[in-house]
Amino acid sequence: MMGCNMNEMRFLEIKQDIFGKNNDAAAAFRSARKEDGMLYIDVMASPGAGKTTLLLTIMAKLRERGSQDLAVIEADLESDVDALKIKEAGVDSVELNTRGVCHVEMGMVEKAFAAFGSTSYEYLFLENIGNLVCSADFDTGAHVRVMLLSVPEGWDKVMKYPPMFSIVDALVVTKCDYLPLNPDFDMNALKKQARVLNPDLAIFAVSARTGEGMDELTDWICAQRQCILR
Amino acid sequence: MHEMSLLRDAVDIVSDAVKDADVKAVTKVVLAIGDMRDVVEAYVPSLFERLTRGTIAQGAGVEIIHVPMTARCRKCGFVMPIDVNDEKSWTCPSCGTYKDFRIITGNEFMVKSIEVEMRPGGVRDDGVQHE
Repeated sequence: MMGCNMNEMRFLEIKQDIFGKNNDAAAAFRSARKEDGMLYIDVMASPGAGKTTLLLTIMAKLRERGSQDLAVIEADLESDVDALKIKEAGVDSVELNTRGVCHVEMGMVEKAFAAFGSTSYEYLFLENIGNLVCSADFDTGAHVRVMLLSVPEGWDKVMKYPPMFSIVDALVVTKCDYLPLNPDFDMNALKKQARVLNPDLAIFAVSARTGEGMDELTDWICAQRQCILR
Repeated sequence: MHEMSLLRDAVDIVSDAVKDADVKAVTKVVLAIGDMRDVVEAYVPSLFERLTRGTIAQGAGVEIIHVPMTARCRKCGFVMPIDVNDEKSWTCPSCGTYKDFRIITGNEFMVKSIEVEMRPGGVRDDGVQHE
């Protein structure tokens, strides 16, 4: 038979990181927001830990201190339940629906941010989807990453979800007004374990309802903005 | 879980890598996955098969290479193996410093290499005879 064509097999080196594209986009977004003078905070937690309530309280505190230009990207699989609450408080908000995807990626963040039609905010918050697992893996372009753990969830979560506790800048223990009803909640053990995993972690104990600890948390947020303005 | 999302990105990387090359088919994809990554390997073959349908990597096998965790001691620069679940491994065997290191490997999720079947010599779609 003429020209027996043995198909040639070859190995091609690729060496491309799957997170590379997202990480590059995140770095670019982070840098652009810094140029805008905008502190961007990614807020992560399990469902029901109190992200929206905490954000509403933070907004109020920031406004008391004279910061009016605030924005929130509300991420959920579906619905605008949380975005409406933020809008009702008079803060610009855009819904980001992941449509079943278990984490937020840069493409989604870029699209949501563009929907504001403005870059003149002082503070931008991403209320991430309720997830302590997948969200830790994906850089959303934020300057600061914060996670919430509410008292009713229990203190012993650090060793169960190490990636999340490791990658955040701050841990906010919410619903501290429930401490009297949760005598098993060992705040000292939580702090000790969290710091073993993440020695530089800032830890705050707050109650959005009573206002406990909210000034200290707001002080810290304002200080983070000063850092990026330098 | 996000195995689907990660593998979808891997398939995109493979498709992009061969789009200008004289490749007839991708027959194998080798992934390098760090031990710190939360990936359920059992899901990978069937997800991969589904995600590659209709692409140049349709039917390709997938091989996973595990990348162990290593860290560099920030005090003396020694590179040591690390086990996140074993505190004893967090002490530098060279200088004895406890838990002051920087992770250098173990967090990868990478398309390492691919095996491809090249187009045979002969007339290609562009009508030109190739050697």
